[in-house]
Amino acid sequence: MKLRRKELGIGICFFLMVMVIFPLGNAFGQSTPKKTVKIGCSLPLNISFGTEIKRALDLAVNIVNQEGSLIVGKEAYTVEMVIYDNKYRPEPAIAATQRLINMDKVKGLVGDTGAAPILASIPVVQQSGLPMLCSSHSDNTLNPKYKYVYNVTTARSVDILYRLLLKTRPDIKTAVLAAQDDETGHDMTRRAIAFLGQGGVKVLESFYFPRDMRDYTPVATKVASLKPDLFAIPGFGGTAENVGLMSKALYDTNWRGATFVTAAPVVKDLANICPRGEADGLYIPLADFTMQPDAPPLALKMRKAFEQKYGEWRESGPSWTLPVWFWVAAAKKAGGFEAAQIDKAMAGLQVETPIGMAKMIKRPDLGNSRYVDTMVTPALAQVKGSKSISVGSMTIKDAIQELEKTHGFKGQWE
Amino acid sequence: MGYLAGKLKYSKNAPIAGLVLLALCLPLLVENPYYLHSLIAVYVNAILGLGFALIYSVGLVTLGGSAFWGIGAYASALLVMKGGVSYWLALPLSGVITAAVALCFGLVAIRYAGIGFIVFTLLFCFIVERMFGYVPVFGGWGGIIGVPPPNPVPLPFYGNVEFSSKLPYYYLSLLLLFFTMAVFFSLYSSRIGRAWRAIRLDSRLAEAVGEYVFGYRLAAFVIASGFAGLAGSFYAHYSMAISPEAFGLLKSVHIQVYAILGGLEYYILGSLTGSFVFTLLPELLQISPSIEPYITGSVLIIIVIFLPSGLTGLIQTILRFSGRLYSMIVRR
Amino acid sequence: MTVQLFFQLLINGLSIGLLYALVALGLVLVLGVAKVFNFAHGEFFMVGAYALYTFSVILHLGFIVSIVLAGLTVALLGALCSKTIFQLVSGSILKAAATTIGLGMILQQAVLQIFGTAQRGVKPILPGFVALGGVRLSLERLVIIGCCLLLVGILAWFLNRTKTGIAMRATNLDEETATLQGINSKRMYFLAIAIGSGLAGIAGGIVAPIRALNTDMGHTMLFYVLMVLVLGGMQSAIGAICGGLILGIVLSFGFHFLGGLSELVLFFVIGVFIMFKPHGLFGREVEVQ
Repeated sequence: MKLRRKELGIGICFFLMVMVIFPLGNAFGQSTPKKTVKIGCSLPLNISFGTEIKRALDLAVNIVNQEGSLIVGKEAYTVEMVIYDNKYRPEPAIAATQRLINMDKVKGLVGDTGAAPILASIPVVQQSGLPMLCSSHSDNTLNPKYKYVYNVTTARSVDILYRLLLKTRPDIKTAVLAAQDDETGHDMTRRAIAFLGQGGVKVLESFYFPRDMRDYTPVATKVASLKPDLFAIPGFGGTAENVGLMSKALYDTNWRGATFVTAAPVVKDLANICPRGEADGLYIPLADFTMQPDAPPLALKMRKAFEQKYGEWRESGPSWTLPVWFWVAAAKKAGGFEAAQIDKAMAGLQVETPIGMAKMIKRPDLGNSRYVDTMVTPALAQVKGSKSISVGSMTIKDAIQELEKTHGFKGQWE
Repeated sequence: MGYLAGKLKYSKNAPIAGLVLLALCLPLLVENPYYLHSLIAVYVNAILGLGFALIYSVGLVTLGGSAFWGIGAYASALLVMKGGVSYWLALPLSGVITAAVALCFGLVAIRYAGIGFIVFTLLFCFIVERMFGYVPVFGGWGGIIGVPPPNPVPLPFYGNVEFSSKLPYYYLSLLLLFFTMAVFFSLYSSRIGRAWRAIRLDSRLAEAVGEYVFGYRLAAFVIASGFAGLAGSFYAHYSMAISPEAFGLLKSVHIQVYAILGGLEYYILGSLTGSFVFTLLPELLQISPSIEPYITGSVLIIIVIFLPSGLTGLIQTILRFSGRLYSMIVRR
Repeated sequence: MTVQLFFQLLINGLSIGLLYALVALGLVLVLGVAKVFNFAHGEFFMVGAYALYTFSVILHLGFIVSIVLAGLTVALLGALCSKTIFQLVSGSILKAAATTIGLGMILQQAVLQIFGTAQRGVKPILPGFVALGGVRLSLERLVIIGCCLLLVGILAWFLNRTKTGIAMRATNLDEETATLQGINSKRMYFLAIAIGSGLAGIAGGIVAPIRALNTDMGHTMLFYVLMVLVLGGMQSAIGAICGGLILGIVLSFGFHFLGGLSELVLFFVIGVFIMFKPHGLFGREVEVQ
């Protein structure tokens, strides 16, 4: 019967494909020249937020290499950053992480952003025993049973920004919260409610909208009908278009309260989308430190690098490069790249970043007594035209005290 | 299964045995965990593709494959994590649960003619994804993390097999694939398979001759979805983290590609070929993610219009042609 | 719930519902007359939005001109596809599904590559709003409602009063008989696809000013349009309009009270509904293939 030849033929082809393609595929894997250390991550490169972060990460690594290569344990290394696209979905994130670990042989996962893909990748990273320094705004990545996973991002300082906001605007007594219906949104809403409650603000309602929502009129209508003093959108803001549309939708109602988003967009872009000034007065985390009187040197370096390579300064990306600075600092302090060494070095590590000083802290409220989270200098800004104006800031010490006030565990954070 | 056991005695099945042996020995040749991961993905996708092909064999096109895959995954994860059930019980149970959901859905949807059915499966796919995201028991949009690996299996002479490296997962997925192929093959070769083929060729005629079209279609749909559920259960405990976005429309489209690319006429091997090529090649050649949709899209268009018998058919044609060439040369 | 809020939600729902109705109408035309289920219809909508962006922001043409051009671009695209792909797959459901899905993927990626991942915003043409007793309606929304009504009106006139339109309806109802009457069904196919796709394109263009352009717009739109089709009947124009309006209004009120969950609730409501009316409000049994 024809069946026989078909089976045989397919078997042979299968075998040939395997024999030919696997070695070929291996050849395509990166080959490493001497004295280069690789780190890598996967990012949602299908959205502009992801591409902004990629640019910033690449430039950050360039700066590290320009300073004179990374000197760790008497050897000089050039850092190479490998980035894959995970489209903000778990399957590609897992495949990318597998690839980074087994093919590119990275020494650490540095820079992953986006809670959902990170959470999917963590089991793979755990199996490999490599350290993971990621930018997740969800507490779920800091589960005590995860080893060598660190949240190196502005999440804690963003929580503190509610305090700063209330200090700047003592007239705020009621609030409405809305967030994207995803892991980050839910987790950040929970924390926002806690911090606002602590500040004596009544949360009238908190609700969620789909991640792929583009027309924010229903959200604005709902907010306008509740008439709060403050409308906060936790986990929202990195993309200028989204923020612009939300501002426009809100502007079209007759509600004129304060609005706060927890990620800074590129304000220039925002002004283009809101030519009538619909976004003026929006509260955002300060991201452009180059305009400050005591600008951090790293901020100025990043700005120069951006202007050299892209012809313009895009200030939202550098806020997400903290994992790079911390990994480099930890490796230097530890004299090595092994996860256990990095882990030890992270204890109380304080590092200069493009958004000010940042320090590793513990999370006693999650039952995590290792240094897994980061406190960055909290700084609040307001949008005015195409610029963001600093409105207030706090020292790290005071910020940690605020954490103690809300969560308790006095003295166990540092 | 007795039918299949009889077939295995014949020597003309040596090529199949060769293939099986090759698959069993592959891990010895290939040690890099990344490659093993890719092969495991191929096997899982092949099971899903087989389901699509089965449903197509009764004349229905489904875009809901990933939804049932997801139902199996979540069912298994919840059974083990919340129900405290052993994985080896959760695995068949999730297949049954998925089949039950498919039964309910099928009862409503199969009544419709082709277009209506596709639309319903598509909507089902969307809705299931959103349900996994919105309903808290499924862990919300972050999904379920920390799904435990399967319980250790005691093997004779070996002791316990722990699921801590890729190897046990490889053999488990291979076993599931073989099981699916075997069951489908015996179904296709049986009276039920003949009825299915009749329905596909002309459902109205089949009905006129007395075949209960609705029932056979429902059976095919339920069986295919049940096996997709098994694949889902495996996936959940292999990835150890599942989230709603993995089970969306894109995956259903990919499932369609696995089946179509391999060749829908080749009920069993087609999906394996299609899954192999479509899962493995892009990863290995590191095809830039910006080119991948062009390739997927063009594959769908080109294969469907120009190469309806898929890659398997292409291989067969090449072999037949080279066979003729060979015999021509030999005769000289 | 104040009266003001009620009317605000109603107007919001109406404007978005009319949009769904317009796109759904396009798909009904393609599906009913040409018998091809164009899964890339959502992508056509998306291309219309990006086309508007190109014409009005990059080429600085007037808004009305841009909308018309956007519609024509997509109509042309649809015509092209109909001559090449759709024609080859009109018979088989699998072929139509697979090829149009593939087409959608290619379109989406092409637009993504040409325009980049940065979401684009279109400057509002008519800033400002109309306030009627506390209910605020931005002028842009009014434009949307106006354009949709206008287009629906034109289409209704076309389908009921012109010879070609009536011929198209005849082909929709029963192709064989229509051919017997002397109607060139191939030309009807072509026209229906062009017009249907054009409608999707114009809808995309209309909505571009109030949304950020994003290559995923097509998928979300397809989801809603399919629900409209299920609700209204897969080959009924009136069904598309009614279904669209109902969907828009229900979602508007639903979101206000239930947030994102409203979509799920809607699906279950529709699910129950089709148990009583399996082919939608105005649908008929679709031809078995």
